[in-house]
Amino acid sequence: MFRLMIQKALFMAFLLFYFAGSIYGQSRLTAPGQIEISMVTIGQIYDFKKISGTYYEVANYVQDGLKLKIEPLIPSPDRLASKEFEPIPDLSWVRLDKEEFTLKYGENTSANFYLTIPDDAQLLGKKYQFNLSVYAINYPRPLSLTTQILVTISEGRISPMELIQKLELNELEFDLTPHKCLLSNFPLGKKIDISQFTGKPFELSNQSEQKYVFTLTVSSSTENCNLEIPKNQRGDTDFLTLDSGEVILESYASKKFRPCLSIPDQENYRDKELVFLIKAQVLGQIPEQSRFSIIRVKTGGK
Amino acid sequence: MNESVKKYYLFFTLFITGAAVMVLELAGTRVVAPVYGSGLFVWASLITVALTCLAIGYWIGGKIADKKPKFGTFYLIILVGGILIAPVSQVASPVLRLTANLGFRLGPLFSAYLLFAAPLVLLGMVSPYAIKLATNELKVLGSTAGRLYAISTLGSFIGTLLTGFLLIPAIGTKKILCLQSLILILLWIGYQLINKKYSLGLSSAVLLSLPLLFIFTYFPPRKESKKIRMLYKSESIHGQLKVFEEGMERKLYLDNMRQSSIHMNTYLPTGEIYYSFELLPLFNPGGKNALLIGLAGGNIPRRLWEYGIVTDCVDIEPKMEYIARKYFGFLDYFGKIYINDGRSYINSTKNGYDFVVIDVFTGDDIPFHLLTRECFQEIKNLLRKNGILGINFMGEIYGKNSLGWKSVYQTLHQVFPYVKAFSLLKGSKLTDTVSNVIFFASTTPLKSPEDIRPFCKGSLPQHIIDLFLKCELDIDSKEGIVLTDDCSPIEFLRKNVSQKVRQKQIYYEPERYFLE
Repeated sequence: MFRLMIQKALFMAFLLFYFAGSIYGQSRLTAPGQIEISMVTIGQIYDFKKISGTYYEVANYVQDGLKLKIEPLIPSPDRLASKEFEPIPDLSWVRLDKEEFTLKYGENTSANFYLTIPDDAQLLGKKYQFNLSVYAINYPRPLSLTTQILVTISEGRISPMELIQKLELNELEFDLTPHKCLLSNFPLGKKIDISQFTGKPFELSNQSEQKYVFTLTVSSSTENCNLEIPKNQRGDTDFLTLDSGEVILESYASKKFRPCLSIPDQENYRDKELVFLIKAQVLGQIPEQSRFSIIRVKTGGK
Repeated sequence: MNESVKKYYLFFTLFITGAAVMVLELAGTRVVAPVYGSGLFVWASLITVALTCLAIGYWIGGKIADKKPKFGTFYLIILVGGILIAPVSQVASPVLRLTANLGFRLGPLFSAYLLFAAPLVLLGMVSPYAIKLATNELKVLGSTAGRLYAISTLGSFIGTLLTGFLLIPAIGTKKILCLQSLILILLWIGYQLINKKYSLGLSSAVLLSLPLLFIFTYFPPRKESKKIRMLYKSESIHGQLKVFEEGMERKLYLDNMRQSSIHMNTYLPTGEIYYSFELLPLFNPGGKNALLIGLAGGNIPRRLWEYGIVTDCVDIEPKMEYIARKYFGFLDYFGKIYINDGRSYINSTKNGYDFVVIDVFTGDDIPFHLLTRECFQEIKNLLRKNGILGINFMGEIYGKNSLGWKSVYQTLHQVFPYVKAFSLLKGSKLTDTVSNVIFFASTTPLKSPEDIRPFCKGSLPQHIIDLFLKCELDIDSKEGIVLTDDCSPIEFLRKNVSQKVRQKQIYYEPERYFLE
């Protein structure tokens, strides 16, 4: 998801594979002619493979065992792709993952490079070009190819949406515990604090970076709960009460609450299995995100 | 037919057509606004189109009236005019798309001509024709013409009031145009009935009303995009409100200008400026309450609530409260919402505040009366000890069009001894590029950014605040002018900011921009 967002929304890397053929008789070396990378932001490091979804590929149709070297170059002003672009100010912006490799005849290899955009406001909105030169080191004649890399830097800095993804804050984290509990031989006709009865505290915790208002309710619906309860086992929601309805939790804070259950002392509730659901959700949130605590109760007999 | 009935029906007709011209002009601005905004160019375009078309209509109408002064022809002109108005809202979207490439001057002008020229010319023909029909003898020509013009102008007056004050916010542009079309067609039908041509009148009533009823009630299915989903759309006094879901973002737009945005899972704001106001409690940690002028989706109150600050929110747009609560999770815990003009609230409230935030970009303009020396003085009176005023302003930071923010700075300095301004574009030297400028002003010294950096809550706000703290703007004390209630040419100083923002949106987000 993150990669997809990066690829599609932020960078929009357009690859134009004009396979520039450098032909010497029947022999040929191929690599992309021009690659355009747009909307990169200052202060970030970009992995070419990640932003484009592809590698920088070089294919050898020259000879077996051709030794090649890739090198980033600052283009001369008269060799720029267009007037909009200026030569990259510093070659240290570009780092190749491998610089030399040997290819068999007909073989191709993938290289990757990393682009570092300094955190300098003066670069906002600028357009730069650098070239990647691939050349043979063990071929009797000069044999080389040049790929123009066109980089457009965004007018804005990294957006909060991208930061949310980068800092992995994109999920709302909260929990309601215990997730499940079983109350066996539950006495009828008495109001019982379930926390005390089971010895397990009921707790709502906010594991997010910001403060939320949560609502705690006894739910009759199993929607969003992934649980099927037979109709005859659904506990009456009036039997279960909570001492908190709305809970404000600061980031990474939690709060204990007390659910109390009172099942009437009636014949039809003896030796029964009943299920109750406590639901926690963020107040006012659409679409709803909820957590459940499932309470299974087995009532006692006579 | 009784001549006096005919005469009074003619007066009534002129009253209605007079209203129709103004309804068409006002509704026309709303039709064009989602793409071109509701700024000066749009109003100038609509007025230009109305005046040129009416002039042509008067000229042609006078000619035809002299040749063929018949009531039948007169009402036929009105009928055709009515029929031509009905489909305007249906064809508006493709026309606006077509003209979008013409820019923000020619675009609205050509759109308005394409959409409204024909009915306006026909409505223009009505007045001279009516004068001819109502004049029996030359010696009463002046009084007859005067009476008819008075009736027509009265109609225009009522039409303007009804449309601007009631109809646009209540039923929306599409239904207004449809109703207008129906009323003009009914005038023709009414004439046939008065003329005792019952079968023609009734059959045409049925025939013409059916397609109108269809247009009135039929809303074409929204072109759902895979990426973008429209959750809410409504006309309001201040423009067209839309709420979109795009990926994991929910966004609020007024006339296609973004007002608020949140991450759908976490409700974290996805615009930097909402975090920038977190500097307020960091500058003044003792602050407990705030006043926000310009609620929109309520991002700022949610963020301030993180610091235990309750925010009273004022917004002039009544529908904002519903949107903030329904789509942006605004809770009562954040504070109260007041539907009022910001300045009017400032003048009438007896509450004191630790912070006041002005964040009032409507679709196109910033209300000038909230950026004057007098307004800042009134705000100063509301602020408690160590209180701070924060402003979100949009404009160019560098170049010859940067006088906007510099003038706000100078004006603030007239009232508050300590003023700071921040922009994320600082250092870029980019001209012709619009950015937010965040101002903070106080009567007590504002802390050094370095002192407050560690106290920010959460990694995302910390990151953004860090960015802002590197971006404090410097200003030459000679640049900018002091804005006052008497003289505040802020729109001229900002130079087409909204057009630049719109141009960018059309370029980068055409799918969302034109989504109906």
